Amino acid sequence: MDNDRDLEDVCRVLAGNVSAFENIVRRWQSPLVNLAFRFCRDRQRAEEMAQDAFLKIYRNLDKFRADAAFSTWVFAVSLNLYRSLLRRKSLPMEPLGERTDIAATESLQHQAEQNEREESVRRAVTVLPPRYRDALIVFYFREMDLKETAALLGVSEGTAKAWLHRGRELLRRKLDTRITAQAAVKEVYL
Amino acid sequence: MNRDNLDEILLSEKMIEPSPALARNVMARIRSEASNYVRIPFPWIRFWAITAVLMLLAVWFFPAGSVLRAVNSLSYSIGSWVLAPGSLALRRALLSTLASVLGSLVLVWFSFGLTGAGDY
Repeated sequence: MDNDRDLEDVCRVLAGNVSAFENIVRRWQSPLVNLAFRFCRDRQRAEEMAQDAFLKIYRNLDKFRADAAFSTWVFAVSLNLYRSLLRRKSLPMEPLGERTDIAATESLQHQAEQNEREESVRRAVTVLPPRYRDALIVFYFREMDLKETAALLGVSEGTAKAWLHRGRELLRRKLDTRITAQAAVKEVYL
Repeated sequence: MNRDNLDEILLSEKMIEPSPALARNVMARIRSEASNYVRIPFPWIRFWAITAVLMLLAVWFFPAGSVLRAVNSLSYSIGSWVLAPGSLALRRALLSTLASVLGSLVLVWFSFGLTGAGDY
């Protein structure tokens, strides 16, 4: 249904009606901002990245072939742009332990600690090597759809599966190391 | 931390709401780009003028006779190059080839600059 509406708007834009692109922007702004946010964990930066993605989509609209779903094409174009933006200008990454340490020392309530822990896991994903980071972000963003993840990354399903496995391993190792270090710090100070 | 925990945490991320200004900003950029975009026709007049100048220069530097001799000497094939690498005709032939290639590159560069091709 949405794909039909997207195709209609694409045709209208290509026929010279620039305003029709606004419908595409309204339908896709939330997914593209959220995908960008998972890469940079910064709301303002995510909106800037999404703006650049829309501009790229507009410029390349004539290259869209209707044999693929519009959603797949939009995500693939945006993903490529986000990756190149991140390569060009590395993000100022907050040290991973910082937020958790603050939460630990201030002894905030359980829910706050839980939120911090989850946020530190998501931040840890962004500092993985690019191929594992991309695989994990896209896989969970597309609600664990392996086929679409592979298509968006431009690799076979087997390769995507291997990257996901390796990415999870690295992530687990990174998190376990940190948890051990934090436990040691707690033991010293408490 | 096991795989289920990871799946749960990474799947449960809440969606953020884009700011209301986002669509407006995107459309402003796109409208500005669409209004500034004017298709520039290929500069045929300049193209032919430059081609004519290059041809005149080639004729001036390499008179027709020498070009023909160069072509003949080229037809001697690699053998003549091996036997007489210093042959004047061959050198002229190579120089004229080089000049044509450079001339073509200048034309391509010039037309790219005029049409804006390769900007993206």
